[in-house]
Amino acid sequence: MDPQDLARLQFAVTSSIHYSFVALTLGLVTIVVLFQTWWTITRQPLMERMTKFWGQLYVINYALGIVTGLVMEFQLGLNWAGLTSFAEVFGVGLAVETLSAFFLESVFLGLWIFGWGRLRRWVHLALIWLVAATAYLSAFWVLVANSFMQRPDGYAIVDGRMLLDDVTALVGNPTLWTTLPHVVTASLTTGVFVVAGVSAYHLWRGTPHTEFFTRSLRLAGWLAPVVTPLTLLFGLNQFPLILEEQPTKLVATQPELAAEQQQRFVEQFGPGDYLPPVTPLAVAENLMFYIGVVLGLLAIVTAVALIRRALVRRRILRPLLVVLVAAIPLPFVANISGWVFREYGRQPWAIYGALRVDEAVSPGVSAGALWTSLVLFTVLLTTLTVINWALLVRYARRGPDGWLIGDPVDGHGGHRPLPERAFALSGRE
Amino acid sequence: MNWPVVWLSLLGCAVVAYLLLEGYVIGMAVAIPAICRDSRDRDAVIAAIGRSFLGNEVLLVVIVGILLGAFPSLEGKIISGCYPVIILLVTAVVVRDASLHLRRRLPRRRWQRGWEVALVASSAVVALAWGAIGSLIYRALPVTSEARLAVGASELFAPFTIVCAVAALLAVTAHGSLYAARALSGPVAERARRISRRLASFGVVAVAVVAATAVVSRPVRVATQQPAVAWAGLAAVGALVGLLIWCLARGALGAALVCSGAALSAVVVLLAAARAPYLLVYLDAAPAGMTLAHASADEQSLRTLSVLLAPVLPVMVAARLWQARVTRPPVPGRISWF
Repeated sequence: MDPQDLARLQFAVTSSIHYSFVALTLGLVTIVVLFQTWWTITRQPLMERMTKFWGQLYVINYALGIVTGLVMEFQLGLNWAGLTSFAEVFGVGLAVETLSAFFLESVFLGLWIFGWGRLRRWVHLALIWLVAATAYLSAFWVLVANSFMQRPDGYAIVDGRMLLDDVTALVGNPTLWTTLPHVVTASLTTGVFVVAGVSAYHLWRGTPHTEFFTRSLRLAGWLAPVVTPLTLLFGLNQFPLILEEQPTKLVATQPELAAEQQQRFVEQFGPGDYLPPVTPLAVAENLMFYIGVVLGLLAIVTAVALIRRALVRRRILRPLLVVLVAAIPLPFVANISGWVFREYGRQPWAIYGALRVDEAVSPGVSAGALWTSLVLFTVLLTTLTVINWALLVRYARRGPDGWLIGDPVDGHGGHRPLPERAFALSGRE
Repeated sequence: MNWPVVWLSLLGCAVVAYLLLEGYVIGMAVAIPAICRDSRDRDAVIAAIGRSFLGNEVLLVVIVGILLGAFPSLEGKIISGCYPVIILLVTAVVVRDASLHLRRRLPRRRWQRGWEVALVASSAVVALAWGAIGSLIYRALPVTSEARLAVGASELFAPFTIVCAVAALLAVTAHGSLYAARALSGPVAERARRISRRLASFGVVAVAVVAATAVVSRPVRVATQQPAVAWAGLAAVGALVGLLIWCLARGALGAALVCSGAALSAVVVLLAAARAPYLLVYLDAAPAGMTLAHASADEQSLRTLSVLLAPVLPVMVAARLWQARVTRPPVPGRISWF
């Protein structure tokens, strides 16, 4: 493989891993916000337990979101220096994201974790709202940068560099505003189906937390039929713009339009292949679409079953519970397929119609260096992802009786914390 | 307004803040084997790390963010130029973060021990890597025909690089031990105080060794455009280390911590000021280096960034101070998440 392919593969691997955490972070934080708001207003102890249980899964998941994001940020400089030095405007969105949104999100999250029992209830509630708001703000600014790559706008070329010319055009990019709702609803779908799947697992296995997980499944059952069809709708809503602006992305379904665009590129930039490979694009697009349809149907069936109370009361729909558990990986596959479709369909351009991928790679980086970082980051992030998911599964299966967030050491309220304490005491000998 | 200077100052502030805040987190982790006797000690030290690191490590992301937005050509040059050290740094930071986040998630002894070892080792690598990166950015580097910085084995294993890497590890560990001595109590704090005293006395030697290696290294001499500033900077660092030792001898831990912080900040100022007007110096190439004008993004981008971020900056500082206030006094008897 030449350096360009290695750099692309590395980006694909690391960003897929990164995004699987991002989608769950955005989805789960929204659900934690709902539960904590409910708890703060009604003071129901059940809602406190909801907040802690789902909040704990959220925090575990957030950790890897950070470290994989760090790898992504450095990777731009490591492997894609051609992109950042040519398209200076590209860095603006990312700079604003890291400086405002990401920084604040991490600080507010720290305050939220350590603020249990130390801050007033309403202040603590405000913090999780701020964590969620800054998380979405992060997503917004990253999408500003990404949408610039799909459809550059608001720039001027001066001395061979793409400089910022009009910030309102950069932020008003129609590609951004059609993508943002899709990304947000897809993340919500991910969070909702994880909540539904974990709840279904406990109800299916008949663990002693029936009331707890009936409540969380009910919330997921109400949200899913709203957010999942919306995800599909917002996804389809992007196609008119893609047809108009990026017809080569639709080479699998609209070959004539793609060929016309290829012709225009040849006239403008000289001979070359300006079409992305068909098969991976078609696979990714179909995978995303059909998973969306399956999840949409599953959402409706679940909602109907919940309305009739069949799912949890009469237990005649046990197969549905099993299906909900089995469906947990589906939104992740769909999310990653969506990004493969979006970014693969941009090929061979790094910035559509302006900068080719081979020009975006860092000049002169050797294949050896790229192999090293590819293997290193892939092994490292894959290992951490497996560990993290094993922990998420473990904590999800344990149910709402073993948390650490905000729990005093003597476990008031009958919820014993982890048996780590016993370990710590014996470890002193 | 002179936006490049404004943004360079912001970058400088972010680097100094990172060194001071993340510096003590990294240093405390490196000092664990020296100041902890049992798992209870380690729990106490790592809980103190956990209270700070979420708000401190983001400064690294902020530094790269400022480089991406305000100094895109410099960012690409440094990060892709120092490729091997950067992947080492990123790997170590990832392992460090993972060990902090994962250690307490399972109640198994071997699991926790494993992550503690990973935490200490990765923190040491982070400190070494920063020392190496600092020295590589400082010295004059050869450039390829594509105007890319060429960092090969001879640059990576140059005496100056190695000396700076070790000095950084020493400095950060001393800084972290001082913080541990102040933030913790009991025998751990006492051991941390003793370690920091011992490290501080090495500090004077380290400054002298760095200076001696710099003088005999041609790329470092070439890079030093302002020798007077460089000598003044080194003298200031040496004097601050001396003052630190004096404060420690008098038992003034807080003042000693201020000295170690000031010494670390002085290194950053030295790094920037001794090579003015260049931010990067090339070895035997024309032009001789990259000036601020060449490194910074255009006027319009910088102005836009400033307008977008000006209202956020006070919020960032206030939020971080609030976090420090809330997390500072650990609630007795509460299990730490970290």
